[in-house]
Amino acid sequence: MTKTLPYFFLMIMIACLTDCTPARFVKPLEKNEWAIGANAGGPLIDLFGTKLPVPFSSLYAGYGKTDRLTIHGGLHTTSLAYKTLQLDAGASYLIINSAGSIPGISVNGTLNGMFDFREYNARVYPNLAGNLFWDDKYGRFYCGMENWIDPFKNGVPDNSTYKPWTPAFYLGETLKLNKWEVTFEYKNLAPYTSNRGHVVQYARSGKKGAHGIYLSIQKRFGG
Amino acid sequence: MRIVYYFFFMSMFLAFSGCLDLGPLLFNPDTSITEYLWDENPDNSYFDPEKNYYIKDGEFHYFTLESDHEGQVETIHAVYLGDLETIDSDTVIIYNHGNSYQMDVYYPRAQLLYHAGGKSRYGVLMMDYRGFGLSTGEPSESSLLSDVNSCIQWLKDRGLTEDRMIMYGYSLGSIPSVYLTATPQAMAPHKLMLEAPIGSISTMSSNGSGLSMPSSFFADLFADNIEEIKKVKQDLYWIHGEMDNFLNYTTHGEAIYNNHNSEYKIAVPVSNGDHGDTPFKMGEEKYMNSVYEFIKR
Repeated sequence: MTKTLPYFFLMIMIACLTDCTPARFVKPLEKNEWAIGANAGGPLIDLFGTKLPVPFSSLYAGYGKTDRLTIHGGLHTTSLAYKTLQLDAGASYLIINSAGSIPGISVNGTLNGMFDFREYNARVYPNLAGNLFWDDKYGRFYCGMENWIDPFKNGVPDNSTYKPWTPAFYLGETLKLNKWEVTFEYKNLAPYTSNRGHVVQYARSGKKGAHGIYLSIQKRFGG
Repeated sequence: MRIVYYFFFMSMFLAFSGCLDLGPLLFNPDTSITEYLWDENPDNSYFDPEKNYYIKDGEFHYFTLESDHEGQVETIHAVYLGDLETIDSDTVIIYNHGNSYQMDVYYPRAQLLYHAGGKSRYGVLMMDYRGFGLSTGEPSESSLLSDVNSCIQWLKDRGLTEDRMIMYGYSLGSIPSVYLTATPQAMAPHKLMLEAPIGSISTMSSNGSGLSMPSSFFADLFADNIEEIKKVKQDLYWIHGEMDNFLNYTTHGEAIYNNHNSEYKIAVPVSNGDHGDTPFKMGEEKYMNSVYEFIKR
């Protein structure tokens, strides 16, 4: 039986643009502290019968403006190699710190800007997130919810459904070694959105959402 | 601030040195074959074990032709099912296949069209676009149109006229089918038939990402059948599996169907059809009857 194979790279690229970063600065930096980091990962896709995380990457940096407020920005390197400049910029704010079993709470707002060097189309998608975190002697456990907002109602092709809001839920563990931090994160991506009937073959047994896994490495300076 | 400068420098470097393009990856040909196997191809073993749809002796013609796309001339391999001597009086279906493998994998589909409405009623021409199967060169979106047009010219040279020419596009093949029907080159098709068509590259990116992303974020691809179909004045036949897990029934196929504004169109939804099996899930005889009813109308 004729079976159309996945459009391999097109598929992982499409999957990645929206979902290629884990949560950033769940616990904001200290005042005047810097951090730079890199992350890789994305949604799990089915490729030739194998489940693979999308191997995409970004670089980012953050600065502790105050003890509660960290501003941050990132560059999505793989998108750029395909002539789409994707940058994000945002801020993370500490509401309360963790204390024993009482979780810390932070919120994060990010603008994700995309611009292509082919037809010079541009998009900006806001992303709002809320986090709970628990510090321990090894590092930090966290969980949270992020919300992608799509303000471009008229940018959706005919018959495609405009989704103004796409949430994701995540949990992760950050391991600390002096100024270095390594984070593993799992995301339950778009759990209310159908994962069927389109070019991206997400690896998920249900009919909605996708699994995402991510790895981040970060180093802190100063403070 | 040094980090900001570093990021800016790096982004500019990558942007202007970035030469990767996902466009060619729209095509997924098998370039390892050394010959076409037709009904001996193991992928076709599912089809017609009782040989009900065999091609009459003397009506299988494998040939090559030259196709010029912007000065790049390539050898296109093609097959014509039917009597070469009666192309000037037969109705001929031009079958444009999907994005993977090569034309012998699509041979059962051509056999069904050849027999639609009765034994060997229609002539069928099927080709491998450049870069597919044994056809030379590299495929591109725009070269699809040149290669299909070269085949139309081959038929025209043998007496085919517009009133007997039917254009059929499956999946990727919907791109040259819609564009050459909307804006004909060698000849204008009399009718257009689409199976599981691509709505647009933007539909792919938007559906796949869940956001309103334009296709230019991913590739140098232009195809927009949802828009192009508005120019088509010919009758339209659209068949699509409602369970299509690759090109969604609603966002791709139905969007094209809804935008077709001329006199006659027919939708053939197949409730249990996926992307690659719709004619067979519908049932071969039922499918062939629906094709015949549309063409004879």
